[in-house]
Amino acid sequence: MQRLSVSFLSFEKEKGSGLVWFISLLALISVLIGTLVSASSQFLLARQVTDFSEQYVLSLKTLLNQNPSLTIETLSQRLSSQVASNYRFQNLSIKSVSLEKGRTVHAVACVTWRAPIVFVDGSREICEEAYAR
Amino acid sequence: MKLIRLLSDEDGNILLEAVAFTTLAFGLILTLGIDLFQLERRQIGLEQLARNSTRFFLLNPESDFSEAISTFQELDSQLQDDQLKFSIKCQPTDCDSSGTFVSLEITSGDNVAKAFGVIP
Repeated sequence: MQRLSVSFLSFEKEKGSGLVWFISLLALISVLIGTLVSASSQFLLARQVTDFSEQYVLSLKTLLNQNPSLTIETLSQRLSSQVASNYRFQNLSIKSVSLEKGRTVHAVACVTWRAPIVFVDGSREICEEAYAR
Repeated sequence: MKLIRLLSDEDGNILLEAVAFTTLAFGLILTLGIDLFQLERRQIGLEQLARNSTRFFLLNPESDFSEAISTFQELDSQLQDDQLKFSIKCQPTDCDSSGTFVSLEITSGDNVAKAFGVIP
């Protein structure tokens, strides 16, 4: 009890390093900025993947209408080879492609997101799906 | 000499120092945040522009692509005054027959947006 009161009393003293306080605040601000930049980057990539998958299913539906004798898998492979060279997504893959009820094209596109900040070693798989009828 | 003495002096007002530091630090975060969202807004606008122009061209293959881009550019207040560069690729080579794969890439400064589609 006596020890506790002594330690509380020592709070009133002005002695101590301001550097620790300063560095802690600086670290907190760096983390805040890092989070902001990473969240923004991930949001933009997710939007781009959504756009990509929507355009992909629309193109696939158009190709399917023009070539009804070909299967959706064959057309998807053909389209993937044309599209892949245009985009610089990391590990871009079409996870699944299907024709639902014979009319609706459904596809799931996935890419790997990597943190844009060097000291944050983070990566995540972002998948987006789209439908076209 | 006076400055060195001032720096080595432990006397001061913590409230004043904290307010000064917080203003600087959060001012930095605010500036960076605004810049970041501005960049994000421009990127989203450019992607919309690329998608809308491509969609317009796919539905009207005989139309002029650059005209479609400048029309949609006028509608976006953020991109109105920008110098846009764009490139179009068509596979196979002609850009006006049914089944042609069309891809567009628009660049505005550091921002790049892409769009693609198949002519119906």
